[in-house]
Amino acid sequence: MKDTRLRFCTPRRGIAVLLLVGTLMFALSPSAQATVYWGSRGAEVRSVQTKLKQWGYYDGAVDGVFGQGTYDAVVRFQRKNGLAVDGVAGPATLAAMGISSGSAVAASTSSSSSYSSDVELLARLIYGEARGEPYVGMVAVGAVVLNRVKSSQFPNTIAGVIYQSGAFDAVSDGQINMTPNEQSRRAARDAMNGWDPTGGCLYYYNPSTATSSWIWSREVRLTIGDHSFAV
Amino acid sequence: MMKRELEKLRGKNGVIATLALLLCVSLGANAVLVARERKLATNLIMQRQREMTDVVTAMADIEINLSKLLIASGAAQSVSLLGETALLAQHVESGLSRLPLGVQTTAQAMKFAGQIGEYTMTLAAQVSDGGMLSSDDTRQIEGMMTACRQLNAHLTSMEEEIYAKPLEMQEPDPSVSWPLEEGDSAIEYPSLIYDGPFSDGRHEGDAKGLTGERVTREQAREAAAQYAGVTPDLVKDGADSGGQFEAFGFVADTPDGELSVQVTGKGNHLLWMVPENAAYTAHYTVTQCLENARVYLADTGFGQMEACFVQQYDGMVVANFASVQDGVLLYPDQVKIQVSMESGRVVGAECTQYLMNHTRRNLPQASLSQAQAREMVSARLDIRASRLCVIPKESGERLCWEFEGMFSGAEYRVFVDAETGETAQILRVVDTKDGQTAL
Repeated sequence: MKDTRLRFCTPRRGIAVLLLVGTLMFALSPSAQATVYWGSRGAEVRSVQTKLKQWGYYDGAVDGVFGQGTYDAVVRFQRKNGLAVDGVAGPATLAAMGISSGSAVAASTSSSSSYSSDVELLARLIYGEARGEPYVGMVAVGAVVLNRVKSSQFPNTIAGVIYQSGAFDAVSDGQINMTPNEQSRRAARDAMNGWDPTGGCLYYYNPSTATSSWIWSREVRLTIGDHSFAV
Repeated sequence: MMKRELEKLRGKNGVIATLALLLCVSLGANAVLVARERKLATNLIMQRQREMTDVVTAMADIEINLSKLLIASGAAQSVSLLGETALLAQHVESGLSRLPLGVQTTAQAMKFAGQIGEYTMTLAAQVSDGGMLSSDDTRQIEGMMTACRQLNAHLTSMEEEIYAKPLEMQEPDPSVSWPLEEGDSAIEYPSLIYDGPFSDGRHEGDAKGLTGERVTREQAREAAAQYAGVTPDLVKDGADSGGQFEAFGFVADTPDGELSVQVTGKGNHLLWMVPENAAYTAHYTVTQCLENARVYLADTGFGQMEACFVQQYDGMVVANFASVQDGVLLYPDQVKIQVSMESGRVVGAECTQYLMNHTRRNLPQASLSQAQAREMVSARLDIRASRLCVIPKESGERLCWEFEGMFSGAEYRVFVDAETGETAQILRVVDTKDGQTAL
């Protein structure tokens, strides 16, 4: 959720919290649904958005997140195609779009696991980058990732930001593949729930080892443990 | 004598033969390894070249589409060009993030690609609603075309420079400054103004809830002690933080372990609090924890707040609370509270949204009655509760009737605009495996 991780077509920040929780609660659900609806995310939502966009019902981003724009587009599609108008892309609506609901089951399973896989990936990055740091420093690393997801200057997904070329040492040197501890997982969850000790920072560096003059020119907002966090 | 010498010689030959054999084997193995490595390296280089080519081609296509747009007539043609451009822009944006250039190099170019995507979608909506491209739009499009050409010229020159180096030197190097970076004047990015989150005309508003006078560190320490529920002598200095919510940092020694507490330098507000170690065992129920959190918020100056969503992890209840004004729930004014289920005490909080939005509202009268709004909600929803609330929308806040109900075994919240009767939002609430639900 992405709350960060939230890219709805219309609202970006405000309602995001509300939706975040909504999405999050959905995402934590272990049950698989054969439908895609408000708060769904993942490949299935993306294919629904792609179809709707091709046919001119949807003009938002194909971002795999079922928000207001996608909801409106599904409603328009249903109205135009004589389907029950409920804004939920269930089996009948998916069939009308030429998407089999069999794949919808798989996709929505993957969408409910997308929250936990985001938490896990973020936890691995935090562990690789900031294990041994004070807890706040671990949450702060998670917050930087989520601030990047929200920023226009970085990729729009957690995985996109983490694996961006040259972005994190833990990715370049493979430390991201270590198993994270419980503290890293909690830090990932807290960061995804909106805790941001950095006040919106996009970068961090170790002041005793950083060599780039560019990074030193950034405004530092928090220094904790070995890391300075900057915008 | 002869025999012994012969044997000696044979022994010597044996050693030499063995050594020669070992040498051959290791040379052979080495050659295999080198070949394998070369193959992997070639694959990687080809992949990177393909990524660069993808970005450059898509960028060139954007430029061509935009030029066609300037001479296109007819809405259908324009909308299709704009839609295609938006998709290409997404492609460029994700492609840029895979180039071996480092984050600070690609940041401006990625922002530009994101803006092209958003701006062309805004224009597509405008044109499909019967609008025309204004002279401002034309000027912005021309600016975008120039920037696309400049960006491509730079990417092409960088491509040659990067791929001329051996593979191990192709990794992003933060000490190398590329011409794409911020502040570089070689590329004139146009200032793009449109209705979207990345528009250049947009800026973050003031924090409405950040009221009060500047405080000293000692005053902030007393506030931190109150927020952490201990006496000020148990509160040490921690790391201060800057930005819009400049704050004093403290670490409080509490019965629940160390809590990091951040108190704003303006107004002594709680910004956030988080426990260092949270491996709490569950003694208290969720209901007891929520009641403690409600009392805590009232006692620490947040006023009347109600829990709206609840989760549970690591032995903590993590709940969103929203302010209540005249019986209306203000969803924008939310704090998140963590309560230890071991002690029942509040150990964590996150108040940025609240400090950003909280203020007394001039709430309009709802022009629809609850019964009228109810008519707008699907008859399939078995409604159990309803209330007036304020929800945040892109265009500002809206007063809504919130209906909470069940449909085929799941709980939904439907928000109906109390002025227009339009459905403003639908949320689905789901029980998680730990049994916690939204309230």
